[in-house]
Amino acid sequence: MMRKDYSESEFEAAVEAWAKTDFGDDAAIGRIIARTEKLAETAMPETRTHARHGWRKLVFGVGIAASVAVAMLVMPGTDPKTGMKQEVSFIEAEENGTDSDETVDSFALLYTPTMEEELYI
Amino acid sequence: MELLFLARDGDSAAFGELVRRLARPALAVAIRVLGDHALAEDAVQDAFARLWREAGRFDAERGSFPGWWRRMLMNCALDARRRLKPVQPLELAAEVADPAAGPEDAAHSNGIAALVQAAAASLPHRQRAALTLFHGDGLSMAEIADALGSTEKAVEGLLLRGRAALRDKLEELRGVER
Repeated sequence: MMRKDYSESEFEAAVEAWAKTDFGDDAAIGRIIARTEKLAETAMPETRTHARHGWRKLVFGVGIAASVAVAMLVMPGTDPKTGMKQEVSFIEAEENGTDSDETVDSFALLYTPTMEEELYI
Repeated sequence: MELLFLARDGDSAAFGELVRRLARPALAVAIRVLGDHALAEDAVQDAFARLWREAGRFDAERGSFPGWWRRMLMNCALDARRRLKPVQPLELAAEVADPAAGPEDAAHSNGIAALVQAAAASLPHRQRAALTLFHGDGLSMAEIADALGSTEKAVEGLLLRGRAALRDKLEELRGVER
């Protein structure tokens, strides 16, 4: 049943004919046009997105600027008087006596006031 | 292009004119890709609905209108094919996709295009789309890749496999005809 008798040029011509044939019928095209016109009368296209993209860019930019501002406030900077970089370390904090008192801490952990004591206070 | 700019501002008459210009070639391409007139009509209808809705998204700096429209049309055509899939297996769908152009009908048809259309019915839809755009519209690999959301290498493969399969099927149909 299988016959290998399509020459290259014959095959090319056949494919070209197929690819360029107008298979559509006028009735179908008429229906498409009618339905599309009806759609265009009843609905509006989406608003232009260029403006919307502009808003997105603006919101994004403001967000980034706010993040940078917060980061600058939170991070230790340079002392304007000495020009030294301000750094915070736990060792430094302990040396300055800013750390909590261990005895008070342990007492606070052990001592739990009773209901009456709380009322008195 | 001017019609599109008018359409995106809500000018329905300009959009109607644009549709009248694009409808016939769009339907012809969709029929070749889908192999089914009713499905193709729906796909073109969907593509025009999208064009109306999304006209504002077209950006001339990012590409030409024909390329943008072609991609939209192909997406709708390939989506229509995907919608068909769960209903029946692809092989079966391909066989019944174009009832007017079955092997027997095509054998009696005097048009070589109808014979190729019948042969193409057995090809995967992406191969048909690549063949249609390459042979019908004379597009480059890059343009076809853009329309199908694929790569040039993949399009090359689609064309090679599509042409080989089409040739085999045509020879088979010619055997039936004789």
